Amino acid sequence: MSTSLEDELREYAVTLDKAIEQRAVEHIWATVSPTPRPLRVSHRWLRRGLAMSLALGGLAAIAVIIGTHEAGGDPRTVVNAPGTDPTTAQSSETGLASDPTGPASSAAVISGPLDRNSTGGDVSRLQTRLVELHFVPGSIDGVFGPETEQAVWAYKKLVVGVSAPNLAHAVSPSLVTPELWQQMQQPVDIRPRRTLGAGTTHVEIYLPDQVMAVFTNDQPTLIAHISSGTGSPWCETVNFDIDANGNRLDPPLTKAVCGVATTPGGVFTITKRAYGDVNSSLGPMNNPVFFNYGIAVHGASTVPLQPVTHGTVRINNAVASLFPSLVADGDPVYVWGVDGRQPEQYTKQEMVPTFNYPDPSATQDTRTTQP
Amino acid sequence: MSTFTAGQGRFSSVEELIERSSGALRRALVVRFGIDVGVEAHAEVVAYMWEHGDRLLAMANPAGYLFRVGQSAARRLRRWNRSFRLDSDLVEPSAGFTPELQPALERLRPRQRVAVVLVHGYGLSYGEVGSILDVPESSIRNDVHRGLVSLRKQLHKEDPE
Repeated sequence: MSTSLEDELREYAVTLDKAIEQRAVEHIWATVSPTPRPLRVSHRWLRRGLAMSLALGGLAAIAVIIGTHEAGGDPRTVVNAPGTDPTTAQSSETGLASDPTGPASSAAVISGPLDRNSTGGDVSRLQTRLVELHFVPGSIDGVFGPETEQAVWAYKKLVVGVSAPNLAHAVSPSLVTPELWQQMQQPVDIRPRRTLGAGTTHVEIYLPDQVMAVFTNDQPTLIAHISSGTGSPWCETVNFDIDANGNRLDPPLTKAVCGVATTPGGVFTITKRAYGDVNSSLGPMNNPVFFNYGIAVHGASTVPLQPVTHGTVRINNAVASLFPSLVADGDPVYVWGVDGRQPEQYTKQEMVPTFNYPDPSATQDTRTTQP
Repeated sequence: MSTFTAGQGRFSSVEELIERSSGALRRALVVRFGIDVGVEAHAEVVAYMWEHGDRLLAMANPAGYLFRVGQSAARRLRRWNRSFRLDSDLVEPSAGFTPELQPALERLRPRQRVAVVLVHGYGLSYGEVGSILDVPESSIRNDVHRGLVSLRKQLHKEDPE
């Protein structure tokens, strides 16, 4: 006795679902690990470049912008070595007159090295100087806590030039020696890697360095240590405790989902924001500012030296209380990807985050999640 | 375990919109256009949901609109290949259905194929399928009936009545 057509269609649907899941996973991996592409200028960037050049007034500006983005490589964030005259320092682009931070307001030496959990006047001086340099050590309270620590990390990575992996493996990554303190007293000129001109604000996120910087009129206004996506696949159980209409689900709906924790590189814009603690399906975010679909820059309670997120960009809550006020919706966000390419080298497909999909094996996993 | 709560602006509803409708949309696009094109078109639909979430939430039938978004994406993706074909090495015939079923489905008219598989394969209601394809429920009933008749003829199956 043959099965009914309806039964066969049901069986077919089950098989089709498996095939869909397999194909979907392959599709995700194809977008996450693209084949290397030749260096080229993307059309979107060229349009923006032309628009900027018209605003700046002249073909000369086009030549400068194109010239710096050729195969010679990305202009490093230019930072003056201590002791050099900032006005004669090497400059990568034309632009506004540089406005380096001046010498420290209190240039006293510190009596000994400072590290996490140090307290006292020297720590307050350190915090004050970090604020002057546009890093965000939290409140100036003389206590070397996690915010101060992360500000020191950001300074070491961006100004001193310590690589993120080396800092992560250092025995005392947060240590501030008297020599480092002396270096911090010198004027520092942190230049953006992309200059947009007067009246602009933009964000630069350097994933290989795990550092973010905000520039207004091409001057730094905030520099922060970040932790971004691990780059690895994951599968976790996620709880939904309300339905689409806001009604409580009792018991909560539990779904096993998988994803790939990448933070893509590319050129984006700030799309929207939310205030306070926001519960996304992957955990709490503080003051999230979104720039790439569900990927936001947001505050979190821990921002370690390694990339640990599901794809979002974590900053500490002190930075998160400040960051949203420095940027407006529509401001550009340039992300240097983990593979070292420039933001304009990512295709549209590569820029889109990997969206979650139902766990094919539906294993129960009770790990706590955080974005 | 983390929890998902609303009330923080519309973005949480966009997540819920994606969670609720994305599965049915993907199945519909796959049955309509084949696995490869369907999965890629669906990825574009999800991206579209994120970007235009606010506008979609205000619509009466966002699922229907999104299916059309997927349709446009699919047409762009498969410029030269106009025939639906489920990738045969991905769909392994199991004991549950005859190997002739897949080619028979491929020979159906597209809307009949989508209606038959979504209603009888996945258990969606006529109304739900009507929303996705943005046609009245009565059209879906028609498509299902004609699709089943055609399939039975191809598979030499007797009508159970």
